[in-house]
Amino acid sequence: MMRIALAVLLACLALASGVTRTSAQAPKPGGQIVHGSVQEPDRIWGPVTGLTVSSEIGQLVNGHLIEIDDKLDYVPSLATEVPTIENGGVSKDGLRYTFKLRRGVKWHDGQPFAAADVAFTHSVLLNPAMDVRGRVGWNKITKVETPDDGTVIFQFSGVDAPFLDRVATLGILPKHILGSVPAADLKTHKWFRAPVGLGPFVFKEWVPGSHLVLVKNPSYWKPGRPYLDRIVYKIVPDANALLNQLETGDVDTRVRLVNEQIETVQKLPNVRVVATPSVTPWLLWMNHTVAPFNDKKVRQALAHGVDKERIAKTLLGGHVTPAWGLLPPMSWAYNPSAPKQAFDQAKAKGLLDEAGWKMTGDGVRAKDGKRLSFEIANIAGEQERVQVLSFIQQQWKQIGVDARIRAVDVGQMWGRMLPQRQFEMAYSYTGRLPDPDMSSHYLSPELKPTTNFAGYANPEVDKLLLAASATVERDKRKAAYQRVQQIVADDAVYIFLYWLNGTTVLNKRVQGYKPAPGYNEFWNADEWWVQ
Amino acid sequence: MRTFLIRRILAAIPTLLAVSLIIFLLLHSAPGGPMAVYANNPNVDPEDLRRLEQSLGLHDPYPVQYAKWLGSMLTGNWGVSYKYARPVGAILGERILATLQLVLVSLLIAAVIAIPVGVLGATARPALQRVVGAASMLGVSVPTFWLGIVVLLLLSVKVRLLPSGGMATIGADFSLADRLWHLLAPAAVLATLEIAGWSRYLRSMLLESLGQDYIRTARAKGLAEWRIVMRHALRNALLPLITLLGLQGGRLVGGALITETVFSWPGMGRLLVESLAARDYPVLMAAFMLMSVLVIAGNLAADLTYGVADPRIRLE
Amino acid sequence: MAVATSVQSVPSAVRRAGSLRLLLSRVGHDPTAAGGTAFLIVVAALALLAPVLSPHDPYAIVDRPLRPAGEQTVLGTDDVGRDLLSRLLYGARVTLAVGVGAALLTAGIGTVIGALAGFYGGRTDTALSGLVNVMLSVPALPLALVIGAFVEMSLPILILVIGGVSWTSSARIVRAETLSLREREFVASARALGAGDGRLILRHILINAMPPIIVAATLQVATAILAESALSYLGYGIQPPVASWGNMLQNAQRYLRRAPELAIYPGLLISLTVVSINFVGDALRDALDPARRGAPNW
Repeated sequence: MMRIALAVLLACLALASGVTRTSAQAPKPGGQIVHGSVQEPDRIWGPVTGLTVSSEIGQLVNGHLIEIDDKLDYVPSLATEVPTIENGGVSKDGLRYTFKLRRGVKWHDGQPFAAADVAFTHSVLLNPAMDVRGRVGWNKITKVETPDDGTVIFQFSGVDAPFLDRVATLGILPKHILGSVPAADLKTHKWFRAPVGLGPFVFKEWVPGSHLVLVKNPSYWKPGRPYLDRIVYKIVPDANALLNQLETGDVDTRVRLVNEQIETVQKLPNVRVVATPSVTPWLLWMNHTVAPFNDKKVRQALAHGVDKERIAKTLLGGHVTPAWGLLPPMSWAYNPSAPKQAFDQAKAKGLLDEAGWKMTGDGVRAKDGKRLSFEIANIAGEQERVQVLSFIQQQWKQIGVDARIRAVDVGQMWGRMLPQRQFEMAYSYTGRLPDPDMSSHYLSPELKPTTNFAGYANPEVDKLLLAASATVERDKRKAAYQRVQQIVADDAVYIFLYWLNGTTVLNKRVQGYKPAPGYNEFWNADEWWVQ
Repeated sequence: MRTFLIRRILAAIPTLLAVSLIIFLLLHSAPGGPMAVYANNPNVDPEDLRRLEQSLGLHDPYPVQYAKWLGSMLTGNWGVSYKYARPVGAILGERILATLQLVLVSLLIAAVIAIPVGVLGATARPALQRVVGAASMLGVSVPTFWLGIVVLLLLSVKVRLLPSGGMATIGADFSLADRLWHLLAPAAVLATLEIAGWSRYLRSMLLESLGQDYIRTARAKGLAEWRIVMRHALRNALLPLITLLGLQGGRLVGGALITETVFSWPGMGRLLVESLAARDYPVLMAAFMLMSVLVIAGNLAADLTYGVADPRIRLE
Repeated sequence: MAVATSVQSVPSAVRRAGSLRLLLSRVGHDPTAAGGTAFLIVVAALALLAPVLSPHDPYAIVDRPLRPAGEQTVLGTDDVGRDLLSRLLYGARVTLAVGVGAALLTAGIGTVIGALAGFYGGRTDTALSGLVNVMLSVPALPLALVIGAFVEMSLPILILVIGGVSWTSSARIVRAETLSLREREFVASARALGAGDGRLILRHILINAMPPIIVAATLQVATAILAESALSYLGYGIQPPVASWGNMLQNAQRYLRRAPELAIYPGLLISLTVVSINFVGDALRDALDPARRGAPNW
């Protein structure tokens, strides 16, 4: 009896190991992937483009000193190690960063990579003739030293806490190609549309309106990488057409799938769908300088009046995660015990009553003759927006709040309404770096925060934020940000709604993909391979 | 004739100037501008925004901006796209080729179908005439983009007969057959309006000329009916058709725009829509001016052929 | 924005203005025109009675998005979860309002400009014709798009925009009519009796020019409805959550695979309405112009 059991056990083990062996295959070099995108890139260098697709191509062809992985940690790339205070790469006061560069790395045209290229890239960033979109942080660098070909040192005038995030997204420019170009011609130089870089893939061709072709970099610094021979970046402006092509296998991968296609794609036999958490929250901005939003109780009541779980699960099909604050749970500074205004209509009504907004005959509350009625500005376009807002509108109606939805265009919203605080409530997402620095949204207006359109001003928060930005020591920053999260959550400065998860579609033969929260989907494209 | 031509061309110049001024004022009257969307970007602060707008000349007073733009347009420098940082001329050149392909093929389809339909409408039995008439009426009544969507639904989504967009199958080498296959649906959809309009017009022209004396003479002489129609009536009816075409320049531009959007055709119409969304002023202005020039040229051609077709008609 | 059919302006033939009964009998005997009229009456009634007939509030979310017809809804839900039938009914109001409003505006502007140009001739005519030329040189849809991108589109503004770019054909018709009527005897005699310019234009000329103006205005409703739907489809017309047949098509293309009826219903309604208007307008034109009575109506 025992011998039979043993035999069965051995047989099962053999079977199991056989099964696991086939599923844990070794990456095979060779093959190509066709990636489909509805948008066409413009210029392939992060600082001068607003398009994600341009950054995606940039990720493939350009090199960076460090990268960010799927756990939001830094990993070395063209630098041999990530500078920290412990290894001496960052000075204690956070004003001096030293990067040691990898030796023997070559540009796609064969020229050697050196520290001079990094210094040159920085000078281009600050060059007034270049239309770089944002210089925040980079303009704090007073000096870039290159004591030898393999070392770059950045000297700062003030601490820039998210500096490493910025470095991870800055593609290095070739000094030997762009160095001698006169400033006026720099921004229209063809390098930006035919880059020669340091990345795992080499730019081969771009047929405008149709596709780009990238081929394997045979002298990439990571041995044995990339596995793929070719990536074709196909431009298919119609989402339906792109779906068709995924189905027929003409396209292998697609990122940022539109929500309404998720159900359809999940039924396709030849692809798999991967959800990517995001660091970009969608929220309702409130103008604290006008009534009724200048009253904390009203803000809290409105927050209690929104059923975020239902929005996430039912309305948006589970493709989003409810958000309760500016920092995502995966951030190292996240405070899980910050107050959350859960859905509670009774509480909401109570708060409004306390604030003096009493229910009247027509179902809308009023105070001193004024009705609790306001406009929510929304950028015309995407369907999720209208869906979510209509739902919230209905929910608020039940607690006696009259919200009207007003469609505006991008220029109105970002050119006038928000920057000049000519709005009551607005609905949008807000761009975020992985770094938890919250100053942009919570610093008092006189300290010139970039995105505090609400007009929130709290001296205690200011103190904490300024202290956190003045140091690079994680513990100190974490403590400060945790306290800030507590305060601003209680103050209901914004009403956060959800994190818009990305959805990636991959043909089943594509392996090696790992989702990256809010960062570039191609961050580890050099590890992708096909069966 | 020649003086007329010169007069009209000269008259077109102030018209074009007026058009450019209108569009310019419209563009710059709205808040935002091309850099507005960066206000939401954590890496961009108000300083950066100001700097960027300055570099694009957006802070110069309006007359200065307009004068600069006008000057550069006239000297052939059509500016650089804000979005793509490429010369506008190059972008326009690529796109206009695509639109021309679409429009020319659609006109061809329209002519091939409209002429027999028009003839039928004038010569067939009344019952058949009614059917054809109703069909052509439907043709002008259906919104073009809806027709395109329905065609996409039936022939591309339900049945994979036609591609659902784009000019060519990507990755494959250039093949005329492949290009035509992609052109078929959008060109046919674009042609519907023209077919309906032309066939109606042709029919009424034919009816008029078939009632004329010389036709009765030909009939009396014993010539076959169809030959009469073909050689005599048709010839007289065709030239005004060209007039009609010229006058429809404006509508053709609009129709192409919609069709290009539905079928993701990378032409001028779609370029306008895209650059509008991106507030890419240089491209927007140039594309609009180009469209106006085409419309004016169409009107001019129409007036010319109108005069040729019927010398009795005094040119305005 | 096109006149629905041919390039010829309505021929100025013998006026039989006033023979309403003749007109009605003509329309009544023509099956397409009769059918068209019936359909339009039904649509107008539905639009007027929308608040009574709608099973739900067109802005309210009643079910999951893209549900097919079920217990909650007669036709299913749209991509937000709102009742499709209610939105179609309320959308009828908006679309028809834009159509009729823009047509009236077009007729109004066109009549004023055409009458002034035709009556006074000379420099007034040259100036106004110059204005017409500028308008004709601008492609209408792109112009409306650009305006729509920079101005906030509400119902009245949309009517203004569509009306403002389409008045040229009306102006031309009225001008031609005015020119020909100006020289007629009854005008000369009225002038001899001391009638001022305004009176002449209004009482004598325009009254007689009414029929082609009416025909043109009728057909213009069709054009305006098509224009609204095109603009809304492109995203520059009536903005959601307000419903119009045009903007209901705006996102329909994305859902072609999952829920094609989102695209079919509004488009079908637009097409049938426009076709009906065209049939009626054509019948009107034939009725008012005896020279065309020879051939059977298409």
